[in-house]
Amino acid sequence: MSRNLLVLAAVPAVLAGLCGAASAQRIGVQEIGRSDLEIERSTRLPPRTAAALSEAGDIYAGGDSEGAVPLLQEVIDTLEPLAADAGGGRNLAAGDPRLFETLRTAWLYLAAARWTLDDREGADQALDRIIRLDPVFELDAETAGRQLTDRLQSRKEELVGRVSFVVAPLDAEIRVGDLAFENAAPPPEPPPTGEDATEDAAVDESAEEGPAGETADSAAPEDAASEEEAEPEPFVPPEPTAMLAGDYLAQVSRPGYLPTTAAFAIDGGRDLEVTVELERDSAVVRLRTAPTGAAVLVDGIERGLTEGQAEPWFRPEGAAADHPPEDFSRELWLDDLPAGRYRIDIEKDGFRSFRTSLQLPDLVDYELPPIVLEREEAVIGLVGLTEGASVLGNGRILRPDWSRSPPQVRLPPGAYDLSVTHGTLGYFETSVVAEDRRRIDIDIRLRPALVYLGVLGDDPAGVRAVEFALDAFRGAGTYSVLDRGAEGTGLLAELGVDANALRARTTARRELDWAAIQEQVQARLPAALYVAAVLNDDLVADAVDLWWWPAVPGPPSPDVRTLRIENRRLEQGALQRLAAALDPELGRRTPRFGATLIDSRAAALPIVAAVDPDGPAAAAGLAPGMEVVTIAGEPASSSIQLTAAVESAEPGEAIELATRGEDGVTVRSVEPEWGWALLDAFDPDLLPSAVAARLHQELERTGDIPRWLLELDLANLLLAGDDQAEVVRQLRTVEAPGRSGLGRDTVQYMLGLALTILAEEGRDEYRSRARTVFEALASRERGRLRSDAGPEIAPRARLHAEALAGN
Amino acid sequence: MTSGSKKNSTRRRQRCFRAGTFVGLTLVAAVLPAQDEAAEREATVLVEAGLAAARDAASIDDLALARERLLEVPRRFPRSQHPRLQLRGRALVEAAALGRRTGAERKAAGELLRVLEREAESEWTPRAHFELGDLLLMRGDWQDAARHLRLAREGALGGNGGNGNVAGDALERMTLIHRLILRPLAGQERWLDSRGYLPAQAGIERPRGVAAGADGRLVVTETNRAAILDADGAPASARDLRGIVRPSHTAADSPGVITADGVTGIEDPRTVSFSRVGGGELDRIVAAHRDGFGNWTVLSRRSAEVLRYDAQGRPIETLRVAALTQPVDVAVGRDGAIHVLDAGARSTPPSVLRFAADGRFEEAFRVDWRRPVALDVDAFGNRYVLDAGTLQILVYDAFATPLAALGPVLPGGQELRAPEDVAVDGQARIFVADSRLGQVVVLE
Repeated sequence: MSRNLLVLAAVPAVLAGLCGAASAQRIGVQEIGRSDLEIERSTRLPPRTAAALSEAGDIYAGGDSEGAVPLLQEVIDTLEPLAADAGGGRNLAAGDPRLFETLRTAWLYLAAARWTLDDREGADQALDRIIRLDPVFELDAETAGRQLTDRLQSRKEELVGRVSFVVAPLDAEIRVGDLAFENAAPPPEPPPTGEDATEDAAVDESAEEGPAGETADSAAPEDAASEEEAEPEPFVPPEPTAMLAGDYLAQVSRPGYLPTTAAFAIDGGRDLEVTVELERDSAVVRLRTAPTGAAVLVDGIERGLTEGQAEPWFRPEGAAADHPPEDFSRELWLDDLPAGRYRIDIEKDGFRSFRTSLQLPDLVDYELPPIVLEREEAVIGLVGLTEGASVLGNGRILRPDWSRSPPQVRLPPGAYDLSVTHGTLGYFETSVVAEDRRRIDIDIRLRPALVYLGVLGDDPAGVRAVEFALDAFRGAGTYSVLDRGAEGTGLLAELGVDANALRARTTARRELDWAAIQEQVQARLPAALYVAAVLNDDLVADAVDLWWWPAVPGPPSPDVRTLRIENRRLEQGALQRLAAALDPELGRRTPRFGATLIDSRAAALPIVAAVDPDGPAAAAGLAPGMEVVTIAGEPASSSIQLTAAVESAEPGEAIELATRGEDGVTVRSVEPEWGWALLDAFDPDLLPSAVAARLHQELERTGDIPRWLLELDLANLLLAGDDQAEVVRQLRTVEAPGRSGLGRDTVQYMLGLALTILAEEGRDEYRSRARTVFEALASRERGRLRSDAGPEIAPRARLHAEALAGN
Repeated sequence: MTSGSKKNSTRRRQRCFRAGTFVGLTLVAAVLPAQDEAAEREATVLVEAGLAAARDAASIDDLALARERLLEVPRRFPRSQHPRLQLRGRALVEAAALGRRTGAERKAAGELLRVLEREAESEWTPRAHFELGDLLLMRGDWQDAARHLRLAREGALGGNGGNGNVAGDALERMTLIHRLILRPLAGQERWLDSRGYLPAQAGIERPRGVAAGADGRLVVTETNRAAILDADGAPASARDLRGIVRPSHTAADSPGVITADGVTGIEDPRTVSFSRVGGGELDRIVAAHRDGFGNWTVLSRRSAEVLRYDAQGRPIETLRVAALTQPVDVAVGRDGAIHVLDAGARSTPPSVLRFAADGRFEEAFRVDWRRPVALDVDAFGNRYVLDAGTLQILVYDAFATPLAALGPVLPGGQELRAPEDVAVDGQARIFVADSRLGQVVVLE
């Protein structure tokens, strides 16, 4: 309850006592008795005493002033020692307002009761006590009654005087005891020439550190700034302060001046003006910093710490003008500075030290411009960072400055684990030690991320075996393997994927919503490829299923690879094959020789059989029926020699053959043509998820491999995965060129295969469409399968068309 | 006369298949999870049942049913769910092989392509290449056939050769291509030389019958003796019998000879006799061929009919055609087609008739041979007619276009004097039994 409320509460009570108004009595009692938990807890007022006062009030209100007096005296006797302990007077009002108000009310009831009993002396004693408690206490004549109000006023004129202080300088601190006073001295008239203004501080040009131009030439005496201000408002001196008559000592101080004590005496009913002029004894440097909390050293000795927040009116200027005002501290005043030269250092951890030299020629105040401490930071250039990548430093998101080339981040000095993630394109991580003012360029080499989602199943030995196996995947070097086991198992559990669900493999593959799992896992743990392990038993696991799936837009169908646990390790051979499968060879180049050699029991030498009319062998003059005498310089005995020679040939390397035909032996040089090859999507060692992930990575970046070839690989992968509807959709988007070898005909052929499979699966409406596709291809002589050197499409298309037509 | 039976090689292949499957299962079991092992076992049962049904088939329809059993494997165990199941490839290859023997050659080609294009490379890949190469060879697409045969041979020699004698069979077909196609393209004759092939140790003085097996073994007969020569021409075994007509087409597997009682084995002395549809035993048999499933195609001069019997000699069907007047020999091609040599009569010129594997008459061509006595067919479907009247071997392709006329003086200087039988082996070497020369002459 506020002090005002209590006053208002007390006055009607007194009024009621004087006038016998029962309703007002009740109000007073209720008001006094009202509790406020917070105040109750903090006050020294005994509850029983408050009740006693309430009872006395009731007695008084009931017209029994005489009966009320002893009770009120008892209350006062109880409260006065407590008030004395609390400091009395203003201290009591500030420290325990409840006790203060109650005591004052008790005295007021007593004054009123004695006044009613016509005990004027007793009433005056009570009123005097009220005035000592609260020299500015007023009664409202309309509510408290004219007589008592006038009596209080006359007692105040006898006991209370007023004082005001006129002190130079204006901002000196004036205190009497604990009480602070405002200065009543008017501000000085604006100096016409500035002669009286404080002097400039000559700042050493050779400031060792610090922002250029921030301090040296802008450091100026405080008053200089006020010259340009608008016309000041008329000065209104503060009201003199009411004080009990008596002798007092005023303490007056201000940095840069000798502190002074002024003695003065207050007479009741009189106003007193105390004049004090302090003597200047040192210069003062005033400064503020952003951020706060900077230690300020003068000639190497710490003299203070900037703190607090700048006043609302503060506006940084100059070089700091762009800095938010709220970042600055309040002013720190450095005094005890005789005229001379000083070195100022400002230091804060994580920020560059600020240092300047000041020449203080006069004993005046010097205000330094706001000082902005620069963070200590290193610049890290991210070479090769691609738009859309996210950068983390020690787990926090960093925002690269993309206007720089290469993009860069600025970091405080320290050790950092930096990581860069770019969707399915990949992941990169490295550790750097950043030093202030140093630049480090990091070559970002994104490697796709493989997120390991942990082990489902409880056998600790099995868990260890799986975790040990992660090194094999790391060793493969294709992926950045990120162990997210702790998070991953929780995430999978959230998605309803647990060991028991996945142990029923066929059901799990068919019935779990893998598209949703794929999407949500990717949203939480961005990567290109995911693997989760499932032990086949919680107690004694002897095998583990590894569930793999690629990131979107890879197909949401997981691949499961089962590995046995042998001697607490996953079987090494299978593990190595799996690790190798993480890096399928995309865009492989293969040589095309352009002729088929066969062996014959009727000849000791290999014979040239089929020759591609447009191939390198035909260009070198090979023709069907020729016998091959030597292959790559070796006597020829088998067609396999040529196969081996072609497989081991390097691009640009020719293979020499000596052939015997109708015109004798001729040495021919055949340089194979190098062309593209598709992945063998039907290779059971292939991990389709890993292939899909790699293909999508390649499709996202502009590499050497033609886009159509990657898309064709993707379609081939889907074909092998028996997702024919998706194959058809994929193939219809491939824009393959019409060329010899792989190309448009290959796309059509694969379309025919997909339609054939659909027909085999019972969708007979696709049989005739597949047949039409193959029939169209049967006369196309340029297309090939698998690679530019692969089987010709036309003869196979004929066979397919016939097979679809049936016998 | 006819080419030798392929039953031996087929049985050996089947034994190898079984061995291969066993080894494969053992290896796979080490890495396969339990579900895959179960699929492997189940698929094995299906494949074995299909092959057993083929062996026991008494008709083309039975073979078609056996084929359907095999095709159940890829349907039951699709690749998407069983990517490592190699038995799917085996089932498709075996089904395709049956398809080729039952006239479903186009579907067979589709099944073989499926193995090559939609299955992982396995021990069945070379066999699929071989079957497809062989099929293409029959169709005359020798260039593509050569590519597949090369891949078959290289695959089989490169470690994927666990299923039968694919490498050897492919080499034979390649030799065929070399001899029949590439030599003429290079300006050479198809047959460059001839020589006597019958060693004295065989004990045969007046050879009258000859049959060549796909494995290179040769059966040579005279009236009271039959001898088997191994692939290098060395005598392997012999048996004295009375009234031998000529070798049967079972020569390569369980070599036999035709006698008055039926077909009698040379190494295995059991005799298979054939009953007539109307009762009694079939006599005057002049040609008999046993296919890979044990069924017989038999030609009797008495009835002027081509009859088909099961492995026990029970009649299955009769191939009737009005034009048969004096059939003297029968040959069965790799595609199951039955070729019949009809010597004709005074008013009817001689002819060669072709029936499809299911018994349908397909075509016939007539030539004024003077005295045609024997017929054989190679893997290309080329027909070899021995005309004892002109002392010539006349070669016709699948469309009856003449390819060669050899004799009476053969390349290399050998001169035919009384040729009585002819056989062509897998590499198109021609063997002629000449009783007056007392020799089997080989043209190569």
